[in-house]
Amino acid sequence: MIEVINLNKVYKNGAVALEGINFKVEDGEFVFIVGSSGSGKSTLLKAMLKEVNVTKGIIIINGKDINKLKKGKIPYFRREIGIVFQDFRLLPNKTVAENVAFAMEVVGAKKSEIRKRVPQVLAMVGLQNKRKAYPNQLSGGEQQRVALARAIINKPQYLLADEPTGNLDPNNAMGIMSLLEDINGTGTTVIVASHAKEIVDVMDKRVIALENGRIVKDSKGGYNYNV
Amino acid sequence: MFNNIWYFIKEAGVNLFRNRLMTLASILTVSSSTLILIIFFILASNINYILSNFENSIGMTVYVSEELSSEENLKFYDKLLEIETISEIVYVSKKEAFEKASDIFKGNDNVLKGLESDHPFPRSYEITLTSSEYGEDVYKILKEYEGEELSSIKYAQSETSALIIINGVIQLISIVLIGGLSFIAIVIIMNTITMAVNSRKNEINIMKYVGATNSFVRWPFLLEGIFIGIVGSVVPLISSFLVYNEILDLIYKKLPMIEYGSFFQPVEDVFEILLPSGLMLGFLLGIVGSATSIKKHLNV
Repeated sequence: MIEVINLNKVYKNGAVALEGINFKVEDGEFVFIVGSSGSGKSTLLKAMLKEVNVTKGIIIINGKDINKLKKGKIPYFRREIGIVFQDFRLLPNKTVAENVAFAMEVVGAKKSEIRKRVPQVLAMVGLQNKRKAYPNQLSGGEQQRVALARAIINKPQYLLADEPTGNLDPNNAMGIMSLLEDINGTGTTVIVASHAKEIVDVMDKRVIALENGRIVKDSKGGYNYNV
Repeated sequence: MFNNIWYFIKEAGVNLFRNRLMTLASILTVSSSTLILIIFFILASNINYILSNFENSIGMTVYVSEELSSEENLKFYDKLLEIETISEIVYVSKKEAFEKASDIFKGNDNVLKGLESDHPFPRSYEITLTSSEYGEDVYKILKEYEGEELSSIKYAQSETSALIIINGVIQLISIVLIGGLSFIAIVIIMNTITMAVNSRKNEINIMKYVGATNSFVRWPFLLEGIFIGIVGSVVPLISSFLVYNEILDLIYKKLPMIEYGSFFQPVEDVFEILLPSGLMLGFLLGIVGSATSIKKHLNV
């Protein structure tokens, strides 16, 4: 379970990114965090990854208060979380299979394990025939599938996606969403930050809407929280 | 860490190869900086060698009193042995003194004719010091025997003092220049490795997101730095060894009157120090350069 209690983040220049954020995400849930640019979505995800330190408040993930996490423990904490970015962040010098295997190598997995798991995950995202291709030989949708494969290869309990469809056309975007739904179906908790209204509406999941760093809506249904 | 050692080596190797232009540039940078240091080291160490050879040739000659019996002379020899700053004592008997004089006056046999049995050349001790800086102290000690065991002391006081000053100045210049050049080399190498690290900050960033520990991220870069540092120092070490050897060979061929090792420092003596210290320097430059450059990218 993820529990966020009275979270506040004020940047050094005085800009308030998050203010009084409270919510709970149960294990196995699929949640959208929506809002316009600058509403605080990315900061919230960064705080959940311990990439930024919060000014006030508590984030409990899987029973751990991540504010109290020591520096040396952060990598081990991140291994419980898969992460996907809008710009894919693939390693251009590595093939599809190497990019995916990389996440397992980083956590010190055995070679035999890596050899077994990589084709499985590539098949799951529909890229079994592209394992030798380099990122620049793939379409945007395919690159995001590689990023998804990398994010789930270590079977994380949580998957955070920051605008995963931001750089994709509607068809590819829906493909990625359907993959995220499949991943959620295996029991992984999925949290997606997005401002793609059409997609959020179609998906019909729980939506936490942010505006100027505050939660303005937390309910099941579409994007349009002003209504 | 040891589970991943092959992964680190593979990663370092692959990265060095993939960024081969950058690798080559880094190796050339380390090589040129190290080469300057090596050239300066060879020059400084030769100047030092020549000076210390010259210093050693300057010693002290003490002339034994005519009245001193053989037994007293032996006692005096024991006293000389007690002076720790004396490294060598050569006794020149009256007979040897005459022979030496004969050598000097070779061709002018008339000068020494008839003096074989009763010549004025005294017995003496030729003293070599452990270092010329002790000359003044030893001279003061021996001065106390003058008029008794000794008739006189011959000591090139001013030349020795000048040598000590020259040697000191050269050592100081060596330290300042070697220190300065090392600093410049470190800055250049850090800059080169920082460029290499910057070009891969995206990769480091991703590694951190997928849960890589700092040491996991750091090791391939450290290995790359070590490789660049060591190869960068081996190349100028080998080339300077060959060139120095060649130069010495040429000098000894062209100037046969110079005895091997009597003037220039032998190649094996120079590289006995230069090889391990050069390799160590390369290793340290590589590891310090890469560790410092990567540090700022680890806080993700």
